[in-house]
Amino acid sequence: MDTLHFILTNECNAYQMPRTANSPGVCKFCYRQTGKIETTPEILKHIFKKISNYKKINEIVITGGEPLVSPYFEQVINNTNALNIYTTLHTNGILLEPELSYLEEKVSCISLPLDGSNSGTQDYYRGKGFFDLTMSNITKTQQKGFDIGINTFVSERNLQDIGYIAKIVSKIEPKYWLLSQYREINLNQRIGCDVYRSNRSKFKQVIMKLSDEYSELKIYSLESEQDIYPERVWVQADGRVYTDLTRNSQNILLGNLLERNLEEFINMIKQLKLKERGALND
Amino acid sequence: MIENCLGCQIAKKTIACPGGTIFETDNFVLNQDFDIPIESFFIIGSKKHIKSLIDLSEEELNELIILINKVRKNMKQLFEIEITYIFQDENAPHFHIWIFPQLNWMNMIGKGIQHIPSIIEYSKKYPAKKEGIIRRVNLLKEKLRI
Repeated sequence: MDTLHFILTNECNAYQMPRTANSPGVCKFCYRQTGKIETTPEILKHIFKKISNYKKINEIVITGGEPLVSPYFEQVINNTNALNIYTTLHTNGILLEPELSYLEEKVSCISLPLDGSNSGTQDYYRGKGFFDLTMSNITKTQQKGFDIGINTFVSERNLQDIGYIAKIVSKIEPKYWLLSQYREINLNQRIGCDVYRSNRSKFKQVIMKLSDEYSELKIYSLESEQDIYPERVWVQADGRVYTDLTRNSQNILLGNLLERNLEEFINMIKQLKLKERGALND
Repeated sequence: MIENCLGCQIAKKTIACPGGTIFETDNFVLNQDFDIPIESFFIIGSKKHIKSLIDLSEEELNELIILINKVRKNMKQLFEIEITYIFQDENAPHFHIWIFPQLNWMNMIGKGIQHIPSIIEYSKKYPAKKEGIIRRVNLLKEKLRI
């Protein structure tokens, strides 16, 4: 087990941003869960003690929702910093810029969304002005010496733009480029999402073409031979622990870290993954 | 000093703005905004309880414009803020000047004075980190002390 995804909050500040004309809304394709994650400084302290007791995690990804809107963000960053392992911050970047200097010594990689090679494409998905904000964030993040991860949401709409996006990504030289398609989960909270669906085999072809053309890039998707996080554990800020299995559309709740040790959950995940691999090979 | 006047209390330091007073001259005090949680949103208030620019002497006006200029320059140098909005609202009971930054994320809501109310509303829903605000206050304090 190498990676722990820490879900700090389910809240996100993107939805309140103005959408562009004809767009179904800002980030309507997102499959995050809703509902408040209840936590306290004491709960977080307890969770990170459990994480630090288990020595085999070598990367932690702080994610959400949008982690930067959480009032506990700094506490979590200080805790991950104390673990002295590779730390990735997964953010939409809206509130990133004023925090960059503070994060310099504490975060290794900043993972940002790039869904278009221009405002017309990206702003359709993420709201007015998002492309300019992202490009500014990428420049400033690079200037500060962070590793960068790029996440691209792909649908029919930006498929024709993907070659141009690849050119931008190639210049950025990110640690990874993760492409994803619309996921059919948590649909009850998403209205007007039909526009985001795209053909899976077409997507697969695009990934293969990009991988051939940009062999220097580490490109990942569900269709890649190599999973970016083959065995990961999801821990929420309230202590709940989840795993993700390819065959399940929802992450599976395993229990609460406040009640058991991380190692027990890791062993459960290993068993589940082994079982899944066996089933997939059958 | 007028009792229950926020501006007077801030000038007298009986009420502290986030990070404390950044800088003061003979007639003005510089603070982070007391109420709106946006990084680098600075307020210059008068020490006297007055309402308008027309209540200031020529000497005080000079002092004020030099201070505004100093703050604005440092917002650019320290925080790379390219655009600001500078306001003085005479509806307020105590004279103060807003030096309101246009941070990158605000461009998503819109550029121009007409978007300021929406930006404030958004920032109250998703406030900047108090620690981040204070870090910037401290940086400006240090710079202005030199």
